[in-house]
Order: sequence, then structure tokens, then C-alpha cells
Amino acid sequence: MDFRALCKPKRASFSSSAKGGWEGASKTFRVMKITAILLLIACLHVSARSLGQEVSLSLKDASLENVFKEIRKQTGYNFFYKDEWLLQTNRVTIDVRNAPITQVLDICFRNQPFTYAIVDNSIVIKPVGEFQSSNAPPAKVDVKGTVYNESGQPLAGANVIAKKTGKGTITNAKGEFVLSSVAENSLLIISFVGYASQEIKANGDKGIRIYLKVAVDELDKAIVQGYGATSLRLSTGNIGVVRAAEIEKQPVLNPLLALQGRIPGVDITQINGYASAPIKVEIRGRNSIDDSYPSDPLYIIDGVPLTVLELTGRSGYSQGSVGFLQNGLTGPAVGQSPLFSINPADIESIEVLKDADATSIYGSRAANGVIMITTKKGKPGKTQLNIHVDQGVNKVTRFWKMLNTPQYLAMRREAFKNDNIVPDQGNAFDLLTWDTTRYTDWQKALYGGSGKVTNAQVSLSGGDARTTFRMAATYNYSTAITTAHGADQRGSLAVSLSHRSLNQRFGVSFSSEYSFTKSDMISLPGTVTLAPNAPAIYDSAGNLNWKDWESSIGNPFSGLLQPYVAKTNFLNSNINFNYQPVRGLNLSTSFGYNNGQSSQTQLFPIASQDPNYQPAGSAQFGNNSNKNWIIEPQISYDLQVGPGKLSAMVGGSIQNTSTEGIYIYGSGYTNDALLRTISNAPQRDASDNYGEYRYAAIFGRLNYNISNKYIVNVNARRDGSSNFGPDNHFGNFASIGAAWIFTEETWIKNHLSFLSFGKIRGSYGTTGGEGGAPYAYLTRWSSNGLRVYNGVQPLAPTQHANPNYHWQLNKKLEGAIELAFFKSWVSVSVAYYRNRCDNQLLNYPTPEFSGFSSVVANLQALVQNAGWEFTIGGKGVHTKYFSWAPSFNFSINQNKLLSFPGLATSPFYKTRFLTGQPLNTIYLLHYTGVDPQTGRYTFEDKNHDGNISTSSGSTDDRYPHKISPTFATGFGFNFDYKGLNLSFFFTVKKQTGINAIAQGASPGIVNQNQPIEILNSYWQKPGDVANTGRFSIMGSADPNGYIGQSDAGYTDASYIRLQNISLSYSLPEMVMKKLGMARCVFFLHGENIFVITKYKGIDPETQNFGGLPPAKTFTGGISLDF
Amino acid sequence: MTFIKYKSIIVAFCCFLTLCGGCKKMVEVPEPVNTITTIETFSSDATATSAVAAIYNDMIAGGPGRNFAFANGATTINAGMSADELHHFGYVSLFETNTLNATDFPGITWTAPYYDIYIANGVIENLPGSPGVSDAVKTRLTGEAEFFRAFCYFYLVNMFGDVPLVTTTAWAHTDTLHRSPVELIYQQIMNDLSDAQTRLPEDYTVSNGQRITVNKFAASALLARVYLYTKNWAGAVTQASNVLTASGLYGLVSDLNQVFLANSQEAILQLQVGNYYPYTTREGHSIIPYDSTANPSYYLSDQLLADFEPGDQRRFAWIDSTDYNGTLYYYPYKYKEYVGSDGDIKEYYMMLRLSEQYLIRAEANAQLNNLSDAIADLNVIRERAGLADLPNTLNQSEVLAAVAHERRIELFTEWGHRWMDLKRTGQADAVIGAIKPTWKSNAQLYPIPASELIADPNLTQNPGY
Repeated sequence: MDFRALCKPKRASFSSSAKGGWEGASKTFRVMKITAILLLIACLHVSARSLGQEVSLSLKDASLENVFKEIRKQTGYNFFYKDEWLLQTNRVTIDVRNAPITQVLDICFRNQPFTYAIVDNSIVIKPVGEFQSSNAPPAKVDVKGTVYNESGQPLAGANVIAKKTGKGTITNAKGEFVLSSVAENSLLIISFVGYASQEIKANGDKGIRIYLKVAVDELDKAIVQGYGATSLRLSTGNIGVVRAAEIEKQPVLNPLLALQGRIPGVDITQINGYASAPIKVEIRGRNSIDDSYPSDPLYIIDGVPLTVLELTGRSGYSQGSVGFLQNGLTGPAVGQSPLFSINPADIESIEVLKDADATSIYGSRAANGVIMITTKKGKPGKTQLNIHVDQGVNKVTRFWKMLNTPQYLAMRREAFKNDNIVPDQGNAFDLLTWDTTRYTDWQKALYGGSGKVTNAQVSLSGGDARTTFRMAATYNYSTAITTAHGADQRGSLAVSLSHRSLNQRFGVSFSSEYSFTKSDMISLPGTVTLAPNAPAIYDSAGNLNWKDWESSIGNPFSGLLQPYVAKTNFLNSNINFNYQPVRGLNLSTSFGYNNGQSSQTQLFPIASQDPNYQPAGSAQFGNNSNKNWIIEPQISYDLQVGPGKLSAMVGGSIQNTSTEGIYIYGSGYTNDALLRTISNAPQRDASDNYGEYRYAAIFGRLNYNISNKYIVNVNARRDGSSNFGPDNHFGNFASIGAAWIFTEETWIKNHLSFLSFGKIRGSYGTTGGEGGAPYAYLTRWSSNGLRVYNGVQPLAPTQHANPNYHWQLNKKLEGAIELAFFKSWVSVSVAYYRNRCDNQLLNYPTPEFSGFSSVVANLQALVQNAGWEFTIGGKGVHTKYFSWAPSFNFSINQNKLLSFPGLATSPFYKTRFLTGQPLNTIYLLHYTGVDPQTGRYTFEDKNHDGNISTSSGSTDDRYPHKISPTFATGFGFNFDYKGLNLSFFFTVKKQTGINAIAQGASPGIVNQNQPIEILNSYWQKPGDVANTGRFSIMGSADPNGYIGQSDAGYTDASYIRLQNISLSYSLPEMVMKKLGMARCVFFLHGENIFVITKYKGIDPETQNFGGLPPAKTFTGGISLDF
Repeated sequence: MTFIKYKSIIVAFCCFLTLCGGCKKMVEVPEPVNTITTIETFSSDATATSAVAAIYNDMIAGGPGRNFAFANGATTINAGMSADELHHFGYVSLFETNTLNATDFPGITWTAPYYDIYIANGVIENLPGSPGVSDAVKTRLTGEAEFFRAFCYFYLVNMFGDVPLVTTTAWAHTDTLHRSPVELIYQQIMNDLSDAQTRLPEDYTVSNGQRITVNKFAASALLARVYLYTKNWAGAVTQASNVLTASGLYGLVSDLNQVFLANSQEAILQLQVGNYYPYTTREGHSIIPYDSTANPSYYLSDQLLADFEPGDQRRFAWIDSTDYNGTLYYYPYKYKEYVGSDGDIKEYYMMLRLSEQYLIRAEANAQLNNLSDAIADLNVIRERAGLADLPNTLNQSEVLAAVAHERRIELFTEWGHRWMDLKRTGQADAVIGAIKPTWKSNAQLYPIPASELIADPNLTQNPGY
């Protein structure tokens, strides 16, 4: 070796007492060379060993000197260096097991001003640069090696690149690579998505083993993308991720709720307080101008889309999708979220795909973004048993203060006085018949209780290098805060298996989740506004009290005795076969299936009905079946082309979805005991809904990555959908994304070393939208719900048909910069996006005189969502015992109707939209106060026609008010101190919402209680200047009725919510070892703890006064790993 | 190695090509199982008959939800409140105060007849080109559809004035229609009815003798009414006479309590009440209190009660009362069953009945100054009610007044006759204005639902809304 000639060692040294300069070390060399023959046998022995020489080291902050001692002890290698150099060296932390010596040395010398060379059985240390000072060209060697992960599984497709020249290769199915004729001792970078890259020195060793570690840096952790994996570092698109650790801290039953506030640009709203309720998800603003289309993204669970066809027309933009409830039943929760069937504890990560680069591989269905749920998989290694148990309570977050009985009665009496009407039996039963001394706080009476929460999970996972498994069983139980009835239960089983053949070429993976849910609910009557002196719900015998309630209104609590039970079985399975015939080529086919079967029963017993009407019992039975199957063959090929790695993938997709709903109504039951079955029903009535959807696509992706520095990514997809008429089945979608990781540039590295990571990326592309229900292009005649007439079963038309509608197009543009400072101590990213949705597909309103009120059609309206997303994260403060890491995200979206040709003369839309304004704009009258003379509310007569009107044609109500959130923020802190972990997460929204005071019934109406706030300032006599108008029994017949359609009917509904708090303590390692456990964690979790808001009402988010508000949940428990 | 490589790639791409080739097929779904298309609907006698049955069903059942609707009681009750016949119990209805507004106004009075017209249009436009339907069935079904189209337009024009004239199901041609003048709508009605007369049978064989399908006399009866409303007196006399002289088919039922029973001799057209809860007419179920002490939903006005002549048997047969908290409320009792019995439907919903034809002919004859003929027809009605004959000495205006009085009593709370009579004879302002302080003349026309004006920019609202 040439460098030996340069060495002029004076003396040998391998101890800390070694003195002298470099000269000495070189001389020793020579001495040793002379004695080489003497040591021949030993040498041979050593070198024979040294080829496969392995070291196990576990040292923390050790001096290099100690490391050398340890290595020498294990291997017999001697070290040559100058003692004073050690003063310049950094301390070393290392944890390797059976690692090759070169790898160990690489780690030791990674941040040292020195490098090393192995000469025979000696290791020679030299300052950096000295080895390079050779004047002869370095020798060329062929490097052979195998790349594994920490568990010893070979990594196929890992990249091996010579750092200097960019020359590279990828590993084959067994993780093997050969990189021929690279300069000896030059650096090779081994990388694989999701793992921390490693550098090794090229040498001619046969069979270097490289063990890549799973990335700990957020930047390098694997994230799931459409048909593949990437990392934040390498991604050219925008993918937000929430991982298991974050999900586990949140005691929520529906995994979508775990996303609340966590990812910028993703707005998650629970429609009501029932656990199984629909959840409205909106990613980066509203795209469709149609109110009847939910803003739901595409949901994909382990590669299987969870598509539910809309059959009932009861889903909508503001109320979300009714989900599994497609038979016409409403249910107390007004739908059932399909994601309620997914157990959050089995989820490894939830990825949200936002921009064109990330979404356009899903083509037509990705206009609203994509949410991908990946379940937990087993890891090779020790078989791990985890037991998790927690228990807790649910409680309502806040109550709203209403008038008490004397206040209420005074209000009513004054209303009569104002209206100059004499109270009589018909209009004043609350004053004349009801006991005026009663008082009930209806909110407490209906949902003042506290619910119980129990969660338990057992999971077993493990495996070896070729086979892994995970199996888990979970049970969740949560009772509602309603005082009468109500509980949600879910039992779920999750299995995942994977196996690779001995030659590693053939692999199969399987995952399956099965769940059973049962939701027992009651319809909460919208009766929290009942008069406070209204009669008791039950009589002394415990039956519904009909005697005291006025027969004209009846007892409004019959719902309490009308239980609704929904049971759902859900199975999601995916099996993936893959085969790697040659290096870089991967053939795979994924088969997926999911099936949601749900049944609902709602009973209307005789006991729940007014006995005066000789009621009969009735019962509703509903069945829903939702099936998806999908087959997706894929070919991917990775190869080194020129200076970079080219990954090409083509795939196909065939999907079939069928959704069915059956509704059976039984009536005329004469005995409540017979109610539970349709068989006992004297009369039956049934109807069904049916939809089938087929979908086929070919798609492809090309990704070219030069040294993790320049990355270009192109996606294309051609989609065909049965939702369109025969001539409009197909649509094409594509995107291009690019990223420049400028911190890989030497000049940045040299001059801006504080910047540990910097990336600029951008993407542009198209996705599509299919609109709503299937078969909208067909004329349809149905007998559904129709009765025989004259012995003939009628057939009635059900819709306008339009064979001409086609895909709507969403063009997405995004640019972003991502930075990390000081070794990821803090990271910042800023993204700007602009999505434009054209060719709007919608239920175009037609006048009802034409037969139906709408027809599915395209409209040339262009909707734009543009916004900014900021995130701040990073490792934060890290000391030995303490760490502190903040996380913050902020998003602001501006929605705008960009153009709408012919809006001014357009039917319907002209009164709802203005170009340049957001879609979620309401047009309101301008409230001008209470008239001191009359006590009536006054409004600005904008069009000066002498009338206040909100009807069409009037322009009084042209004051636009934006009702989408202005901005949303989520921020949290995570503290660790030894085994203690504390985290908070807050969500903030700035928005306008319904003013619950003004939108309620106007004060004075019979049996309508009012919030206490109305008493602050209300009109009593001419001359009064007041906020609340005159009390009147007339309700909306009075001009007071317009208040709800004015700007006074809306208010600031901004809030800060402590969404989540989590405190956990892991027992120290020492204790656990004694207990024979791997991990033992005690924890306390809380969800929806409190809300800070100026909003008057129950909750600024649901803004639904009378419905069940979202509850707060506290749980505490223990999680054990064995 | 290379061989394997290429082979794999070739095989993979072959799979792909197969996939692409099959794409078109893969995205075609079979037609939905729970519905059929228009072509299938008009492919046979049976299915085409089903399409027309949908009109009957929609009228009597109020569509899939089986609600209280335009043609099963809502017209009677709403128009009754708009006029001086009915009060709503418990609160003051906007119909009663004639202060409807375009936003809150329940649109069924508008949408239901238009939906029926849509089905009728579908039948009329699809039958001619349907080879699977026999000529005889085509002819009859077209006639039935024409009748219903005319019937619905008659009510639209009388409730709303000028309305869009929709004669096709093609939404692209109808969604921006303007309102057509009343005269044009009447012309369409007359054309439909005249054509229907040539197509429809003269008996009820189609419904096995039950008076629940449209026949030629139903078309004549409605045409007589249309002529009366359009002041074609001679035409009205002719058409009414057609019905009144139909040999043996119709006659007044002497027992007033049996007039509204199913297949009553007096019925020209009834809508069949199906065998399902409440096993009786929706109108009867809505009006009759569930027991003798319950509050009524609607009760009769003092003015109407006072207008009955002493001894008028209709006052007792067709009106009943309930004592609620010490007050006696009178309610219409033409239909007598609040709830009927399973499998034993007693009452059908009366669309057209013979006594109206007497009154039409009487009025038309009076207008033509054939006073004795007019008085003779009036006396037929009066005799059945147990009243004395009118003398033959009355002059024209006295006869017309007698007709008006008789119509009010005979046809009270039936299909809005009173409301339409007051309007067509120009009495509305005087009569209703005298008893309701909130009355304004523009209230004679209901507002067009605001949502319709929003959906069709060419549509204009009636004055005052």
C-alpha cells in the first residue's frame, strides 16, 4: 500500500502512554513489517478472522482511547497514532452488535478530524487529508456487500452510491450488491427509504454486511405514498402524517378524530356528539359548489379504498357523508362514519395526501385529497406481547345558561302583553295549565350524565428475518353522556403476516382487520329549549308522562323510549404477492377486499306513544351492505441511469364497489313485546337502494433521483368509471413534481453549515372528481315505496337523466420550502398551494315544474382554493434526561369563486354566489338595531324599495359574510423527563358561526326557552334602546323572524381548544428487567378538555344547539410489553 | 438471466395490454336492479300501465312518503282556509290570513301537480314509439295521461294564475320556461280533454267496475267545469249533459251518508284508497278528530254554518262536532272514517261527482237564460238535501245567486270549489275582505315557491309576494 511509504514512524504505540510524533508511528510500522514473518501464523489467523471480523460495542460518550481498547480486546487489532491527537478527538457513542470492524471504525471516525487505515492487523490513524495526499491514483476495487435492516432482513432495492463519482447500483432481492471498480477507500453511501443512510469505505472485502437503522430523524422516516413509500426528505409532494405514537395518546373511537388540528390544511369536524357520527373532512378548502356533495377525501386502508356509494341523497357538504347508513333510515347520529369501524390502536400511521404530486396517482378520485391508513405490522425479533388497558369517563364540555322558570314566565307574560293577546288554552298552556313552580334544567336532564370508557388491547407480534406477524384483539366500550341510553362498543381483531421465500425473491404479505361495532343510541329531542316549567318526562309509575303534556304538542320525549341500535361488521383485507425476478424489477399484485355489513333497528313501542291515540307499535329495520374489491397489478423497475436512480412503476387497478340498503318498516304491533322482529308485524313495508360502481385504471410513475439532491417525479393515470354515461367513461390525469435538496450542494454545506436540511419543491398536476350517486346518466323508473293501485304496481320516474356529464378537473399547483437547522434541532416548512376546480360536476338545480329539482350536469364554474401552510417541528431541546419539543402548524385557505360565466342570469346560483367571494359565503341583511319605538328588529333596506325582504329578486340581503374558518392552527408541546412524558395539543380556529341566541326561536314563543343573555338588554316600552327586540308569541310571523337571516344572526365562533393532554410514565429499565418486562407505561389521556371562546352556545365547533355536543373524555391506564 | 429478465417484462406487459383492452368493459355496470329505464318502462302493456298507475298513486298517496298532498286533501284544506270555510285549530295558518309568503309556503300545491304532469308527459311522449305496447292500451293510457295533465293544470292555473306550460320531460327544454298566460293553459287543458274523450272507454271495465280509473265521462265532467270557468256556457251545458245522461251509469245517492263511499253511484272518478294505514282517505284522517273529546285539527267557519238553510239534511249528514274543553267545534264529515279497517276499505277519495255536473249545467243554463232548466237542476240537488224546490219565478240573477249558494253548500270543503268560485265570480274581495282584516286582493293567487324562482330566472312572482 502506497501510503505506508509516506509514513515515517518513530515508535510504535498502542497505549495511552505513547509519546512522540508521526515519525515514530511510521518507524514502528517498518519494525512490524520485519517481524511479520515471525507473526505469520498469528497474522494469518488474524486476517482470516479479520475478513469477517465483528465487533459488539455499546458505549456512551466514550473517549476514543477507550473505544480503541475495547476493539483491541475483541479483535486483537493494534492502533497506531500520536497521543496528542487524542486531545482533538470527539467523544463517541456507539451501539453495535456483531458489526464488521470497518463499520464500527466508520462510526468512531465519523465526526473526527482523523481517519484510519487498516494495515494487516493494525489500524493506523491519520489526520483527515493525509491519505488523500497520495500522488498515485487509488487502486480500484470491486465492492460486494449485503444490506440488511437491524432485524437482519435483507433490503432489496437499497441504493449504493459512490459518494464522489455518483456511480451506483441497487441491491437485489437478497439485499446484495456489487459495485465494480470504485476507488479503494472511497466512500459509499448506502440508503434505503425509511432508514438512516450509512457511509462505508470501499474495499475489496468480499461480503461487507451493512445494517441500516430505521430512521429516527423525522426527515428520513418512511411515509406511505400512493403505491409506494417515500420520506419527507425525498418526497416531491405534500404528505402529512400522524403516527401511532400520536394516535395512541388520543382517546378517540374514530381514527379521523385523531387528525384534528394535527395536519395543516386538514379540517376535521365531528357532526354531532355520537361516537359513530359522520365526520366532515375537508382538505384545503371546498372544491365543489354543490351543497349536496360531501367534501370527503378518498379513504384507503392498507391499499383498499373504502368507497361507499351515495344512494339516499342525504349526504351533503355541511353534514358530511351518511356513510354506512344507505337504506333511508336516519338514526340519531344522522349517519355512520365508515371509519368508526377502524380501531385506532391498530393504526401505524395515517397519511394525508394533499398536492398534485401526491394525489394524482389516484386520478379521478383524489380531487378532495386522499387519506391513507396503514395498520401495524409485525417486526422481526423477540416475540412481543403488549397488554393495554385503560378506563375513563365522558362528560359534556359546557352547559348553556337558560332562563329559569320565573324569568321564562315573565318573558311569556310580557310577550302576550306586547302582542295584546289574551292568553288562552291554545297559546298559553305553559302559563295556564303547567305547574308554574316547576323547574328543570333540560340540558342536565338529557345529557348531564357522565359516560364510562373502557379500552383493552392484547397484541402479539414478532417474527424472524423471513416471516413476521402481528395479531391483536381490542375491545372498546364507551357510554354516551345522555342520561337515558346509549353506548358504543367495538371489538376488533387485526392480523398481519408477511413472508419471504428463502431466496428472498418471492414475498407475500397479508393484513386483515375485522371489527364489530354496536352503537346503542337514542334520538335526543331538540328539547333543551323546552320551557323550564314543562312537565316531567315520566309519571309516577315510570311511564312517559302524557297526562301533563299538552296534547297539541305531546310529550316530546318519546324518543327516549325508542332505542336505535346499529350493529356493524367490517372486514378489510389485503394480500400482496410480489416477486423479484431480477435486480431492480418487482412484480406485484395486490388483492384487496372490504365489506361493511350493518344493520339497524329502531323501535317505536306503544309505551313511547300517546295512549290517547290508541297507538300501535312500529319498528324500522335497516340493512346495509357495502363491498369493495380491488385488484392492482404493478410492475416497478429501479435502475441506475447515469448519475441517478430511476424508479419506474406502472400499474393497473380494477375496482368494484356495491352498496345496498334495505329498509323494512313494520307497523300495527299490538304488543311491545313483539316489536323486535319483523315477523310479528301485522303490516310490512320495505324498500331498497342499490348501487354498483366499477372502476378501472392504468397508472404509472417515473421518479429520477440524482444523489438525493435533484429529484423529479412524474405521475400519470387513465381512469374509467361507471359513474358516467357510455361516452364519458374515461379521463386522464397527470402530475409532475420536482425537488432540489440544496443542502446537498457542497457550497451550501461549506458556507451554511447551520442548515442541516433544505429543500425546495414544487408540483403541478390534475386530479378529478366523479360527483355523487351512480346511474345519474340513466332514466330511472322505480316502484320503491309505491302502493298498488287498481291491482297494478306503479312505476314512477325518479330522476332527470343526463347522459352528457363528464369528469370535473382539479388542477393543483404547489410550491414549498422545507428547512431544518442545527441537525434538525428545529425544522420549518412553508407551502403555498393553489387548486383550481373546473368543469364543476353538480346537481344542477332545475325548477320543480320540470319534474325534478335537479339534474347531474357540469357547470363551467371555476373554484379556487389558495393558501399557505406552515409547520414548525424538530427535535427541540435534548439533554440527557430532559427533552422538550414543540410542534406547530398553521394553515390559511382562501376560497374563491374565480369565474362563473353567466352567473348574473344563472338560475339558483345568482343568489348564492358572487365571483371573487368564497363559496362558503352567506348573504345577509344588515341589522340596524332594535327600533326604540316598536321594539322590532330593523334592517337596512339596501335596495330602497321600502320593504325588507330576503326572497329572491330582493337585493336587501347582499351583504356577504364568509363562514369558512379564516385560519386554523394546531400546536403542542412534548416534554420528556426520564421516563415521564407530558404532552399537550391545542387546536385553534378563527371563524364565524351561527349566533345561537339570534338563530333560536324568537323570545316569547310558547314552550321555547331562551338563553339568559336575552335579559341583558331587551325592549320593554317605546323609547327603550335594547339589544333584544320585543317579546312576542308570534315567532317568525313577526318581523323579528328576519334576525336569523341578518348579520346579527352570526357571530365570532373562534376558539382555542385543549384538544388533547397526555401524561405517561415508563418504569425505568432496571425495574422492568427485574419484573421481566420490556416496557411498562402508566398513562393519563384526555381529549377535548376545555375550550376558550367568546362564543355563546354549547360548542363553537358544532354550533348545533339542541343536538348532542361533543364530550370530553379522560382515561387512565397501563400498557405493558413483555 | 437476460432471458428471464425479458421474459418477465414481456409477460408483464402482455398482462397490461389485456388490462387496457378490457378497460371499456370493466367500467360498465349492469343496470341497477331496483329501477328500470324509460325504454323498459314502455316496453309492454303491463309496465306502461304501471307508469300511469304512478300518477294515480302519486295523487292519492302523495308519493313515496305517503303524505298529505295536493290530491288527497291538501287542496281541500288549504283552499278551504284561504276562503271562508275552515279554521286551523291551535294556531292561525298563513292560508287563513291570506298572508302566504314565497319562502314558507308549502310547495306541494305547486310541485305535486307538476310531478304528475311530468309522468303524464312521459307517458304521452313515449307511448307512440313503443312497439311492445298494444294499440288499445296505448290509446287508453294516453287518454288517462291527458286527463291528469288537464286536471293538474286546472288546479295550477286556478291557484297560481299564469304558470309554465310543460309538455315534455326534456329538462333542457323546460328548465328556463316563462309563465304562459292562463288562456293558453286552458287551451292546452281543453285540447287534452277533447282528445282524451276520443280515447277513453265509456265504462269502468278496466277497473272491474270500480270507479277508480278515468273514463270518457270523467273527461267530459272536467271539460264541463273548464267551460264553465272559461264562460263557454253552451259547451258547459253540452259536456255536463253528456255525463248526466250517461245511461244508467250515474245517479245521485239518496242517502247523504253514502255519497262518499267507495264506488258510490254519484262518483264519476274516485281515487282508490289502498289497504294500508289509515285504511281510509287521508282527508278524512286529517280532519276527523280521533275521538269525541279530542280537539279537531280543522273546524268550520261560523259563516259557512250560518249559510245552511234550516232543514238542510247536509248540515247533519256532512258536518259533525266535537266538544273540546267546553267549546263545540264543527268539522266536515263528508268522509266519516278517521281510521278504517284492514281489508275493508269503505271510502274512496272523490275527485269528480255528479252533483257538481248538475250545478255546472244549472249555472251555464242560467247564464244562457234557460232559467227553468237551471232551476230544475238545482232542485234535483235540493230535493236530495231535504229542501223545498225553488220556485220557477226566479229571475236570472236570483237563479245565479241560488246556484252560488247551492255550490257553496253542496261542494263545501271539497277540492277548493268555494275558493275558486269566489275568485272566478269576482266575489273574493267582497266576501273574504268583509271577514278577514288581513285580506288583500292579490292573495287570490298563491305565491310561486321562492325556490322555483331561484331555479328558473325567467319565472316571475305573483304580485304582492
